[in-house]
Amino acid sequence: MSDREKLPELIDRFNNGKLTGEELTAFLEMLKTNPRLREEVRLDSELNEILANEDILELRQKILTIQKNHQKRKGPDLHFFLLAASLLLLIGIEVLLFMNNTHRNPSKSTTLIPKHQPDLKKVPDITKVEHPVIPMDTVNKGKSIIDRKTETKLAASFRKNPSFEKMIGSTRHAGYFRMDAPVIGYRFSEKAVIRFEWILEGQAEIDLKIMDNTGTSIHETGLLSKNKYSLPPGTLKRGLYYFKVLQNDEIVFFGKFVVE
Amino acid sequence: MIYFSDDAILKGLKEKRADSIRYLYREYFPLAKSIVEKNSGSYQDAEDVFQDGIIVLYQKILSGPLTLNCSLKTFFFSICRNIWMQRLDRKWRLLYQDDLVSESVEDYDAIPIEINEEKLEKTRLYQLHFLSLPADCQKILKMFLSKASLKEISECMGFKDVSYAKTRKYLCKNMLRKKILKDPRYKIFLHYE
Repeated sequence: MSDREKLPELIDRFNNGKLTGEELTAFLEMLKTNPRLREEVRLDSELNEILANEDILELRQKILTIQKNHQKRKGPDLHFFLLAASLLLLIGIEVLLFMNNTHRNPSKSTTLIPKHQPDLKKVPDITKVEHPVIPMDTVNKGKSIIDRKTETKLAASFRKNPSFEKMIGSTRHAGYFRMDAPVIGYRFSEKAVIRFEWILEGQAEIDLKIMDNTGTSIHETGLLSKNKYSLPPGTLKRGLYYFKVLQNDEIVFFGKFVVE
Repeated sequence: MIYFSDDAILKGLKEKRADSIRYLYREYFPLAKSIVEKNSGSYQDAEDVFQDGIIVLYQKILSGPLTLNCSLKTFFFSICRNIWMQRLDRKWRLLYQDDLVSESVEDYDAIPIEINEEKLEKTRLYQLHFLSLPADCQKILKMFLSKASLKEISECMGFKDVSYAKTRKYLCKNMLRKKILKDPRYKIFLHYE
C-alpha cells in the first residue's frame, strides 16, 4: 500500500485512538507541518461524529423527501402546458391553412383589399351577379361560387389590381350617374360584344377608359354623347379589365369586367 | 386540512413522523422563506434554514421538556431568524474584515436560543453528501460508524473476506471525502487556504 493509500487509514486510526508508538509520533510530526493533513483529520473526525448520529440523519432524509415532493408539485402546471399546447396547435393549423390558401390562390399573398367604399348603394351587388369574377376577398369571403379550376386561371392576367379594387364603384359626381352595364365583375365571352350602358343627367358627355389588370391603358373612347358604347368581339384578350367613366376629367364611376 | 396543535407537532417531530414534518413544511416554511428572502437570501437558502431550524427544534425536544413562553410558530420563527442572521454575519465576516462588521449576532436574538450555526451548516453539508452516496456505501459507513467490526460488516454485506470489507470502507469514505472537498460551500470551512 502506498503512502497516499495508507493516509486515510492512518487518519482513521488516529481519530479512533488506534495509532500508537512510532506511527503516532511520525503522524503528529506530519500534522505539525502539514495544514492539509490537519484539515483532513478534522474533516474525518467531524464526519465520524455527525454521521454517527443516525437520528438526525433519518430526520434530514425525511425533510429532504418532503421538500423534493413539494418542489415537484410546485413544478410547471399541467393546465398551463395543455393550454400552451392547444394554442400552438391552433397557430399551426392557422399557418397551414394560410399557406395552403396562398398556394392555391397566389393573389391572396399580395392583395389585401379593404372593404369597398361605403357609398356603393348604386353599385349592383356583385355576389348576385350571374358570373361574379371576384373569387375570394374581404367583401365576398365565404360566398364565392368560383371553383378551384377557375381560381387557378385567375392568375396572371386575371390577377386583381389592389389599387383599382379600392376604387371600384366609387362615384364622386355631383349630378346623377348610373352605370347599367356591365355590372361589376361581369364575365364576357371572348366572342361577345362588350356593351357599356349608362344613364347620365342632362346632355353631358363622358370619357370611357379601359385598362388591363396591370393598369396599362387598353382603350379610350374619347367624349361620348350617347348613353351606350360597344366594343366588337375579339377587341380584348382574355383577362381582367378595369374601366373608368370620366366627366370633365373627374371619375364618376369605376368598374371591372372579365373577358374569358 | 388537518390542524396540528403545537403539542401535536412537537410530539410528531420527536417521533420523526412524516405527517408532522409535512405539516411543519406547509405551515412554517413560509416563515423561513420570508426571513431569508427579506434579508438578501435565496429560495435555496430558505430551504437550508428551514432544514436547520427543524433540526434545532428536534434537538431541543430531545434535550428535555420544551417549555414555550410563546407559540411554536414564534419560537420557530426565532430559530430560523437566528440561524439566518448568524449565517449572514459569518459570511460577511469572511468577505470583509471582522472590524468592519459593527453589528453583532446578539442583536438578532429576540428569543435567546443557543445555536451553533456553523455546525448546523456542516452537518447539513456532510449529511447531504452522505445521502448522495450509493446505498451499499451508506450501509457500510453506517455500520462502521456504529463501531461494527470488519468481520460483521463483511458478513452483513456478503463480502468474501474482511480485507475486502476494509477496502470498501476506505473507498466509500474516500468517495464521501472527495464529494465534500469539491463542494464550494465547504471551501469557507477550510482553514489552510
